Amino acid sequence: MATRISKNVERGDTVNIAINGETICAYEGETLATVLLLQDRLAFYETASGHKRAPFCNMGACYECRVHVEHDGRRQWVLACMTTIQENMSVTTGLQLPVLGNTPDAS
Amino acid sequence: MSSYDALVIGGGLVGCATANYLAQAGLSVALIEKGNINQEASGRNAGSLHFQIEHRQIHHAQDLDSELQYCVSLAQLAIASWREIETELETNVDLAMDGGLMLAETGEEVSLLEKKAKLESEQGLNVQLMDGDETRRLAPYLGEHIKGALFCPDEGHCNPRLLTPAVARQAEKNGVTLFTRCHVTDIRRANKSWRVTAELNSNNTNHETMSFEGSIIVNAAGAWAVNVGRMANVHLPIFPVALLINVTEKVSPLIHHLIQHVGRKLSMKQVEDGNVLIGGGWSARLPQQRGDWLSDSAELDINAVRGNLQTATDIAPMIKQLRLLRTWTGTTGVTPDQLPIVGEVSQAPGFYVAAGGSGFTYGPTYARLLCEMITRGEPSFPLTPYSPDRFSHMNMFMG
Repeated sequence: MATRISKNVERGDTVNIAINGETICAYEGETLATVLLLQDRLAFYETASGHKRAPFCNMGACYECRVHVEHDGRRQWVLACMTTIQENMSVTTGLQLPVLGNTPDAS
Repeated sequence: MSSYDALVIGGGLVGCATANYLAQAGLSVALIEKGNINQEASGRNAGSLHFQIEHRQIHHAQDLDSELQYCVSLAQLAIASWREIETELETNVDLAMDGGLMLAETGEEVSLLEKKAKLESEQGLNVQLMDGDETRRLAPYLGEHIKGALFCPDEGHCNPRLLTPAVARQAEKNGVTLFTRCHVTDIRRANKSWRVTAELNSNNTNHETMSFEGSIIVNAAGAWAVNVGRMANVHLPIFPVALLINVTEKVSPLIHHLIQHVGRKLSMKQVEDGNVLIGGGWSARLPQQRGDWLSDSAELDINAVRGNLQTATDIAPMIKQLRLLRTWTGTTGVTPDQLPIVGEVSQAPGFYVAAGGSGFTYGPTYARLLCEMITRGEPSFPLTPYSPDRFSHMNMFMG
């Protein structure tokens, strides 16, 4: 399991986000991927054939870390490794990818 | 010196499948590959299985009547072989044969499809002409302006990253000895057999020179078959052509068919994992040095990438929402008459070629027929139109 290093690290303010309904306290500047990996939630999304997928590159190239996010009334799929957490973000993991064109936020 | 019945040069689909069939027929076979198995066009193409008649053949249909008949019969052989391939290889290669649509956007293109449908039906290929609404019922993501399509229920796609490695594994199981990173440097006739010299690990300073002997050589070097021919003192008119393919992020199943266009360069499909592959013959630039091609990867032309994606989003506006993950290039080989070269070179007995076009869709079929030609003298379906001897005038003073 992943853990935060603590020696010689000064953290910013705490940020509360919800992961699949559960409130988690993390720190300013952390990405969604970081927080999910710290929670040991490795199944970020699921393919149509039911295969669970996890991040591979952690730098925005592999597109294997997609999760669904609700924040400030907006719902969208994001790359967890490229998304900095914000207060009251609500994340859902393990969903199947969106059906194209059905909803305006399904990109 | 290692002796084999047959030496196959090239570890792509055609080379691996030919080696596999030859070994199944009881021959001892060495397969010699300069890089790795499936490293070039066999592993880099978009995996389309396309059986509809090509463009140029429609325009010259009257002159090409017998050629059309031949192509359709060969397509039917290939269709039958694809339907069996996962059973034959005892593994999954993401085979999908749910049909292919060749689209028309203009009235002129619809007329072209009508002409094509008539020709193909006459020759016995299963195709159905559809109007715009029928096409959209089958593929609702297509734009309102699509005027019609020709549907061929046997078309589809297969995963190029899985197919050739699976064939190579089976070839090894059947006794083929695979030599990878083994670059052929010389081919000479010695009495009734051929001697092949190759450098193992040719990129290392401490490479090893290897010698092979065999009465049969199969040149399955794809875009580079001309170089292998040259070593045997044989001219082969095969020219490398670099192309590009785009892949988008994954999305839920949306595109269930192979999508092609009768008037524009486009092939599009959604693979098992959910990514959409977009290609269709947009060119990349092959590097050269002092006029010689280098076999390095081709360079991307951003305008070609744009043109390719524009074509795709024109016909299916919905996919504009998808993000592009990558674009890659690969190099295929074309011949002057756009037909492949499959068969024995008369001026060089025992020197067989299988290269030069549609090597994915037709690769397993060429391999099987070439193996029959080698082991029985006559293939079960004639390969005459594809014989290297149609270019024999080039080899009048060679061999």
